[in-house]
Amino acid sequence: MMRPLLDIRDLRVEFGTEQMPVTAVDGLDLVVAPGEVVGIVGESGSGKSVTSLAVMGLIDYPGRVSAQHLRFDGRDLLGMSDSGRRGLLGKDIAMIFQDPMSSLNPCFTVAYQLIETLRVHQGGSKTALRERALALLQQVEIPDAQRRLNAYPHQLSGGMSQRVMVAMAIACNPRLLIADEPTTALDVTVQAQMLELLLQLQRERGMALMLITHDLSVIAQTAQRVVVMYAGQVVETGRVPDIFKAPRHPYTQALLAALPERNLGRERLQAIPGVVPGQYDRPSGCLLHPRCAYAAAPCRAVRPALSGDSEAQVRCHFALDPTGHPGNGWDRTA
Amino acid sequence: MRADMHMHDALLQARNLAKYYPVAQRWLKPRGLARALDGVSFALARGKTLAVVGESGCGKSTLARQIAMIEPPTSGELWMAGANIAQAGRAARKRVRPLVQMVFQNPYASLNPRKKVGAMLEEPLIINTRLKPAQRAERAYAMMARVGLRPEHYGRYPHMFSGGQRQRIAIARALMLDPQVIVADEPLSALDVSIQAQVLNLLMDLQQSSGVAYLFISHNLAVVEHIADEVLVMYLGKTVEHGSKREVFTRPLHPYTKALLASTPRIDPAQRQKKIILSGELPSPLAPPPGCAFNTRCPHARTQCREQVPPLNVFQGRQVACHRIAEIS
Repeated sequence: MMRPLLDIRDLRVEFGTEQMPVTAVDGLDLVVAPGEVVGIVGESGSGKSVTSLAVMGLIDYPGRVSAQHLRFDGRDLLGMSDSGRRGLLGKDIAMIFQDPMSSLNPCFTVAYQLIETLRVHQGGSKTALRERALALLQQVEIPDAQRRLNAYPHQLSGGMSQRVMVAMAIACNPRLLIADEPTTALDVTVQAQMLELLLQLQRERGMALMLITHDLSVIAQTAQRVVVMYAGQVVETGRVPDIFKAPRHPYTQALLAALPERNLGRERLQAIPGVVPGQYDRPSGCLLHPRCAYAAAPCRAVRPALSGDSEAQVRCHFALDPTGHPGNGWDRTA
Repeated sequence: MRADMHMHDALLQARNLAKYYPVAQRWLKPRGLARALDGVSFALARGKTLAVVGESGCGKSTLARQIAMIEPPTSGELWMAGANIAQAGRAARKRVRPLVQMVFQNPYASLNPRKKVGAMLEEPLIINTRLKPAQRAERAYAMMARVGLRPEHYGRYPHMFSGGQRQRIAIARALMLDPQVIVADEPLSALDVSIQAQVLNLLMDLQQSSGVAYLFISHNLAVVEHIADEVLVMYLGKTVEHGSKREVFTRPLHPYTKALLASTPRIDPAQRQKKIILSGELPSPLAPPPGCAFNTRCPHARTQCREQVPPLNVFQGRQVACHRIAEIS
C-alpha cells in the first residue's frame, strides 16, 4: 500500500465535562490513500461529522480531541502549530459542508469569498485572482459564470451555492476533499449532478475524496471503500461491492435490509428495533447488542475489537459469514 | 379519465386545484404571482395511498396545505364528504376538518414543547367531541398503544423522546379523530434510516387496520415505491404524470419522471450506470418558462414545447403532460 494520505489511529473526541464526558468518537481508526474515494456512512450521532471536524481542527473547547496519531501525508496534525495547520487547511485539505446556504457568508459576493481563499494560500495580482476565480466557477459548471462572480449567496439556488462551495474547496488543488453530506440539502436531480461533478474533479485531479453521508445508495454509487460507523465507533470497513453484497457486521446487514429497495414486493420492511444509544445510555459490551438480532452472552459482556486486515475490518464477536449468518461458533443460548 | 373512474368510492377529489401567492418583487412595482400550484386534479380512495413526488419548489407542500385545509385554494374544487370545501362556508369546513389530518415533516418542530403527550393527544377531542376527561384519557392511552408508545409516555414532554418516537406521537395525534385522510408531508425525511423503516411499517399497519387513506408527499422514491398505490409526479405546480405505482416505476413515460428515477441513486454498486443527468435546476415559479414548464431541461424539447403548454392527456392508461409523448415513448 502507498503511504496513506490521512492516517488516523485511535481518535477520540469528547464533549461535556471531564467528570461526565460525552463520547462522540470512540477510538476511530481510518486510513485514506491518495486519490481514493472513501465513503463514511452512519446514522445521526454515529460520530461521522465530528470525525471530519476533528481532522479539520474545528472542534472547539469544551470538545477534546485526542489520538494516538492523526497524520496527514506523514505530518502530525495534532502536534502542529496553529499557523502550520492553517497553511494546510483549505489548501491541502478542504471541506464542503451539508448546507450550502448557511456555509457561504451572505454579506460578501461569490468573487470575494473565492478570492479570499486564493489570496491567503497563493496570492497574486487582483486581476489574476479574479481570472482564477472565474476559471474555478467554470470548472464547477456554473452557467453564466462571469455574472455569478458578482452575485451574493442569496441570489443563488441551493445547487448553485453548493457548486460555489466546491469551487472554493478545490481552489488550491487539495489532496484531500472532505464532503460532509454534500447532497443532503439538494434535490435528486441536482444531487446526481453534484455527485458526478465531485467524482469528475476527483478523477481529474487525483485527489482523495472522503464522502460522509447517511445515504447508503450514495455510497453505492460513488465510493470505492466504505466505513460504517455506529455510536462513535467504526463497526465495519471494506470494499464497496463486498459490503453491499455480503456485509459482515450485523448492523450493516440490518441497515441494508431496512431499505425499501431491498424489500420490494414485501409488505413490511425489516426494521431495526430500538434507537441509537444516547449520551448516557451506552450499553456495556457491544454497543449494538440491544438492537442486534444475533446478540448472545459475550456480546453483552465484552466490547468487541475491530479485527481484520487493511482491506476489510469488522467489529463483531460473531462476524457474519458470506451467507449472512453469524460465524465464529455463534450460539444464542451460550 | 382516471379521476372519474374512482368517482363512487373516492373519499376526496381535487379538481383543477390552484394556489397563487402574490409576491412583491420590488418596491412600488406591480406584484407578481407565484403559481405554486397550477391546476392539479386527483381522486383519493379509501385505504389507498397517493404519493406526490417532485423536487423542492414543485408545489407538493402547497398541495398538502390545500388538502389539509390550512389555507384555501385560489381556485378549483376540493370535494370531500359531499361538500366542495374549497368554497364552502365555515360550518361545512368545520364539519369536514376532522376527516383530514396532517403529519408534518419535522417532529422536532411540529410538537408543542410545553405540552405533555397526553394533552397533545386529547386536544383534538376537547375541540371536536364532548367526551368526558376520563373517556378522553382512555382514548389517548388506546391510541398510544396502537402506535407503539408505552403508557408511561402519557405524562412526558416531547423533548424526552427520540425523533422516531416523536413522529409516532405526531401520527397518533393525527389519528385521534379517526380521520379518513391523512396528509403526510415528508414524514420520514427527518428520521434516520433505521428508524424510517419502523415508522413506514407503522404507517402501513395503521392503514390496514383503519382504512385511512394517505396523501403521501415525499422526494424519496424508494419509500414511495414501497408505500404508494398511485403516484403523481409534479413539476412547477403542474402534474406531469399520474398513474399506478407499478406503471410509473417500471415504465416511466414523461421525460421528467424518467430523469427523476434515473437520478435516484441505486443501492446496488454494480449498477453504476451512466445516468440521464438533467442539466440546470427547477425554474422559478415566479417566471415559469413559456410552453411546457420542463422544456428548459428536457432532452426532447422542440419548438412546440417552448410555445404551447402541454395538456394532461391519457396515454397508455395513465395521465401524461407531454407534447411528444407518442414519439419518445
